[in-house]
Amino acid sequence: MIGAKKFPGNLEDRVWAVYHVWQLHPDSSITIAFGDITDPADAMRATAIIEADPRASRAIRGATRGTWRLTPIASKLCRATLIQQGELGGSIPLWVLNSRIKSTLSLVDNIRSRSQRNGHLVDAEVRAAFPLPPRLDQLDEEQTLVVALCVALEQNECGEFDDWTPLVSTSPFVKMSLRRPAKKKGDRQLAIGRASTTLDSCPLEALAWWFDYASRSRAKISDEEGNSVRLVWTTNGLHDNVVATIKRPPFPLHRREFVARQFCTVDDGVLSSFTSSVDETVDYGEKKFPSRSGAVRALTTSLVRFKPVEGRADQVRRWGGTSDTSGVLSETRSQPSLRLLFALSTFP
Amino acid sequence: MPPAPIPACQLDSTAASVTTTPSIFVQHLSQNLPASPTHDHDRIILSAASIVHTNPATIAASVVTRVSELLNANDPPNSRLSHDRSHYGSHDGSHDLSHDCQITLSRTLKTGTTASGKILKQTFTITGDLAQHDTQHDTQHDMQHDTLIEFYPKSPKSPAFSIVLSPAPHGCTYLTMCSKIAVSSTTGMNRTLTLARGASPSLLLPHAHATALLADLSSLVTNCHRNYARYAEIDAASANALITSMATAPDLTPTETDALDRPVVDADWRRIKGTVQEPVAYFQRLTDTAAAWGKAECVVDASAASVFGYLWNYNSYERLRQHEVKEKGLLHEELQVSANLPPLSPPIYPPPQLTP
Repeated sequence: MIGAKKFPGNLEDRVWAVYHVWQLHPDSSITIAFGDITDPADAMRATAIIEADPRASRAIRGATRGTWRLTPIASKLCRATLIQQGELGGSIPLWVLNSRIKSTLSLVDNIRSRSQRNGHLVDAEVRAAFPLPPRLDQLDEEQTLVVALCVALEQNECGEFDDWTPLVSTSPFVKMSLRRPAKKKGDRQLAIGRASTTLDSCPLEALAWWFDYASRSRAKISDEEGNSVRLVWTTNGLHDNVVATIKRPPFPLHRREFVARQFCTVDDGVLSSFTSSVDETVDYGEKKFPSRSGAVRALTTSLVRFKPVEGRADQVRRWGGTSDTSGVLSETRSQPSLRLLFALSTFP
Repeated sequence: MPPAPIPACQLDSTAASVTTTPSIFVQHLSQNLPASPTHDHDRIILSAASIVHTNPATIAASVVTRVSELLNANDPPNSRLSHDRSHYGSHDGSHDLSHDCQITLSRTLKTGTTASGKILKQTFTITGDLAQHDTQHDTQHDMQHDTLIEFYPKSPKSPAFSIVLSPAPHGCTYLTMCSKIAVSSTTGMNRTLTLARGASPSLLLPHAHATALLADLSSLVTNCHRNYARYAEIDAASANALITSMATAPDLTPTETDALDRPVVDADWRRIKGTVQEPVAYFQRLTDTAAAWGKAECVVDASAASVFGYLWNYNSYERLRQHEVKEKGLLHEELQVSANLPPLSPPIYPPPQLTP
């Protein structure tokens, strides 16, 4: 493929002759690799085409190579990844080159915007394609430690917590309660919140909604709450990822940054999601890296269970959401999680 | 006996030159030119070609029955109300076409140090018969049936033209129109335009006027293309054909395998400043070399195959138009080099039929 690009100002136009090849993988993902034309005969044909075009013949010859990866997510959804190296040729300063990288990659955004569909439909497709998570005994050592940490939220064997105290709920369909630790002088007061509700959905679909952290509908809720960032930072398979968000608590509190690992399991028909904070630095594209945008790093641990309701195959009961936040939010730390629960109670 | 139109295949390839095109989807293959000084008269030949998104029979019927509408389509609405330039009808068993070619030329007159523009408008009338023939010729694989429409001018002052309609994939047609007019070999401002070979000079016309006359006629190609345009449908059909043929694509050649195995390091990325809230995640890898590395990732609301169909169909109408707008008409070509390519969409431009 031969293409020329117009450059602004006094910069001369650039022209590329690029060799493309594709491969369909057994998992239905597709790779397109591209690079310079290596075959001499093809290179000569490309040069002849360029030379025949009056404007292209005056342009400077650039070079590029890279790869496209198209990975299916659902039947009508895929993840598109473009990695590209570009050499513009001529005497263009490196900083100009770096500043144009985003425009070089703009084809990805073109593809995204031309295919954009209703967010609710897309989320529904993602949920429908969500596979059953692994069993508890299939987890690795690190995940098992997180499970132990989360399960401990439910237990009170040593009597370190008071009993559950009912909490004024934000919804008539959600029961909320709070358990405060037994008071000890000098200790931090980390309360645990709990909420439960009945959902008109099957457990797997509800778990899929919960696990799809950066889905369109949840990103919209986050935007409406005024939170600046919500993203999936890294993924480790289909049921394990690290997510990050920066939440804006009410004035005069500082913004809170949550970076947590979440994964899910299935055990005896009960689906569980485990979340625990991790000490990872997330790149938010700030000027200085690593940076937390001036936000206070908060910690969270949560356990969410989705249990089928007896006699109602399409309903699910969930309970056990907790969230611990460092800083001054010790008494209200569970609010974000409970609000999210309210959103989930109105699902879909 | 009226002069015969020139079949497209008789164009002199050595004299071919691509000229300014009225549309990015219509190409003037050649405009020319006095290639052989041994003739008594020079010919001006203009060939316009395009792909039309309907079958040859529909186009032939449209040209034969509604040629005047096709030629009048470019006129502004006001002028059409007052005067249709083309008239077409059947008389005595033949189809007569009468068309007023109104050509507009601007000329800059220099007086001292100032320059002023002057627009010249002249009208010529062409009359003649349209005739349709079916032809067939042997291609590499099978017999190809073409439709030939020829215009035989009645008056020696009229140019002749021929239209070749060849079937193309997805129910489309390659349309090539060649029109010719003969001019005297006299050069300079007193170039004499004789409107047919052997005719006496009856009209003095600059060379540019004769070219403009043929360009006006070739608007028929543009209008045919525009009337039947189904850009989105053809792009989708091309993409579907590509996706369908993926499973039966031949094995990769060693060169292609090498290209796929070339390592691309997916590490050490830094998010591009200020892009964290965008739906596409942009990253870059800062290096000291002259090569810049970038990465972009997003979820696309379409299947991997359909995204591939879009990416691989480099010459689709949608991408061609985007390139036209963004890069101001700079080069955008596809060069078939690989055995791993499934059959692509029909090219936007028909294959040039310039071989003698």
